[in-house]
Amino acid sequence: MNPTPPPPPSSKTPPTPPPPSDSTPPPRRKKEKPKEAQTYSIQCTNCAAPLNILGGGRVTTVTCQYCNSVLDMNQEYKVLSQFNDKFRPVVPFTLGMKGKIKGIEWTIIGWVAYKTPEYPVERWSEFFLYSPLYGYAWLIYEEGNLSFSKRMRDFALREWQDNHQPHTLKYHNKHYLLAEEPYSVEIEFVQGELSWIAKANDSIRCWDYNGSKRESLSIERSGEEIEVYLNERIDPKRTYASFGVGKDKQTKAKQSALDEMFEEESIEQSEQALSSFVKGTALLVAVLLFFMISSAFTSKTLVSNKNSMPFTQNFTVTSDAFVSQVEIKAPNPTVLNAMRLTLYKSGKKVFYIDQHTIFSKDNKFLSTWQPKDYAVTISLKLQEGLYRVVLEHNRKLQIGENVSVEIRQGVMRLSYILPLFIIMLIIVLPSLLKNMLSSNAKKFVWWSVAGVIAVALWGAGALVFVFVLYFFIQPIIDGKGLGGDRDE
Amino acid sequence: MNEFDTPFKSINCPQCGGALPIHFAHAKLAQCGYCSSSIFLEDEAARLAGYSSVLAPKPSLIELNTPFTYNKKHFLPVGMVRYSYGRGSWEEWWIKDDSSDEWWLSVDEGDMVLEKLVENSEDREIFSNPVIGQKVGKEWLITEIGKGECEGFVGTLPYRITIGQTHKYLHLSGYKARLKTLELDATGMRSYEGEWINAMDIRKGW
Repeated sequence: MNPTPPPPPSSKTPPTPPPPSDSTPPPRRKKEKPKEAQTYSIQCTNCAAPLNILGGGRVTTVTCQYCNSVLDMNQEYKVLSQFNDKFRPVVPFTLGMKGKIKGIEWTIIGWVAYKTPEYPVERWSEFFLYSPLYGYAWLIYEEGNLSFSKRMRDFALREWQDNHQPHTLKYHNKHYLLAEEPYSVEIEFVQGELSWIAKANDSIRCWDYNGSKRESLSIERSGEEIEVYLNERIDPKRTYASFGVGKDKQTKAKQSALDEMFEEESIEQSEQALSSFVKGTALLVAVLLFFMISSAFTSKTLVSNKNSMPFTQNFTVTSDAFVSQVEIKAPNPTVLNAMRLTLYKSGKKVFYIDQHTIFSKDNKFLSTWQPKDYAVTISLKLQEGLYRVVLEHNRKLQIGENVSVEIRQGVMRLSYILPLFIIMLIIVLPSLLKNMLSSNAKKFVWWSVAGVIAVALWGAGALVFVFVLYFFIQPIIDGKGLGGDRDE
Repeated sequence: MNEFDTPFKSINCPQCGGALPIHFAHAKLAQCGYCSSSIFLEDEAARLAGYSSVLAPKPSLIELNTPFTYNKKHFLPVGMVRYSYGRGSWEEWWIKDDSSDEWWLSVDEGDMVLEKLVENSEDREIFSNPVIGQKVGKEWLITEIGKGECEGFVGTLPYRITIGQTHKYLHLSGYKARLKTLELDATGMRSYEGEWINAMDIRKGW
């Protein structure tokens, strides 16, 4: 496959041949593995100050700590620019510090300070970390808060670009939500080694996406290049201790906007809550739909009359599932109140109703008859069998005073579904309360509930006080006593 | 040693007689672990090609013949070529997985790419004037252009390589964070396809 000629045999004296492999294998050569990256020193080509080079092969520039000159490491340390007269932030970390983050030892090899042009007071520092085994990462320092940031090369950047920077995205099965509108940051100050050429006031466009567990994704565009970083908040105390930051240099972490955002609610929690909410609602809707559809199929009109009066008709109830419903409609309340309806089964009266009287053989009925109503609906439980309905009136009806009656079987009533709905709501609500509300909102809810209970108790106490005062104390004050009347 | 670690066959170094474990039938080059000789593997024979240079030790998560686990899969590095890009170097590890499939793992200071050799679907003319951002076919975009010079190798390799041998490469990025690498040297063009992996997800051993 490969026609490349082999290199000529070395003239070096070959080592004593070990015995063939079928006997005891020879001892293997031990290669000494370095535990740390190789470092070396250079002299600044601008001020001749000694500079330690700590990073690996991907480092391209080093900025002198003394004269702030940016030296190009690929062009014999040519001075590219200078960061003189630039604001140098006060930070607890310095170049060369070593410490562990996520169990990996990192060396701080570079430092970049940023500001936002829109809000120049917003400043933060990012320290370039190097590990010979794990490459490069960033330690972000902002008002005492620390984050660990690592470039993620397996992010589906093409899709992100094609979707025009969506508001939500998924990465490694986690959801992230765009925290705010994209913003620009500018480089304010640089020191040490970097894997790119930094220039003062270089602008970077950023999209920040918040995830759960204090993680966020930063997508940063600088020129034509787009890089994605996964940021994770880390414990400042532990990090300071690991990097050997003196207590006098440690800054107490301030609650940043990011903190507040993270505290408010994590996406995962929202998603979980939303999932519970959607599931619960879907279940309720499914149950309601089931009953509505069932009702459409089970409901059957047995009797329907609009004209003849008095009216009598035989009908057969074929199913006693759910309830039967009798509906009487009149042109005015006077006519309705003159009506009386009787149901017979096997010649025996099982149900009777008029404006004033209701009789039911098994007392399973519900009526809405009110004196000023134009219609009445009576729900009752009718067993299967042959029935006769008789609708009569106790006053003469005028022409046009038509009364209609309709009897249906297998009618679903809302009151059947409502308790079920309430029970399901009780089941779903705790889950919603647990997951959907942020901790602050939960506190608010519980304090509100406690407040309502306190007010209710106070009100009840006040009522008892008034009651006692009025019925027990006042008679005593009035000199009547509890048995005052009797004394008189 | 278990089945995963067991080589496909073992031959003896023609220079020192030391055992050379061969994990793939189509391995073409091996470095003797005892005398550092380079050995061409030709069917059933092993021919001395000369001494390899001894690579400067470099800290690495991946070690020759030391299994590691990634994404619940087990891998065994059987060979490595180190390439220089000027100020630094990167390593290409030839590895086999627990299904005896072969992979290439590129390790460049914490950045890792796991790829498989695939058939060439691009013309080698692509190397004539490549530009970052250039679209290749329907899916791919050129995201990196570079060249490497072989500094040395260890273990066994599927092709012959000599110290100082150079190659050009192109990195193409596709959808779903897919990565394609095209390599061109005197022997022709090779294509690899795979994905970026996170070094923090690598675990030594099983």
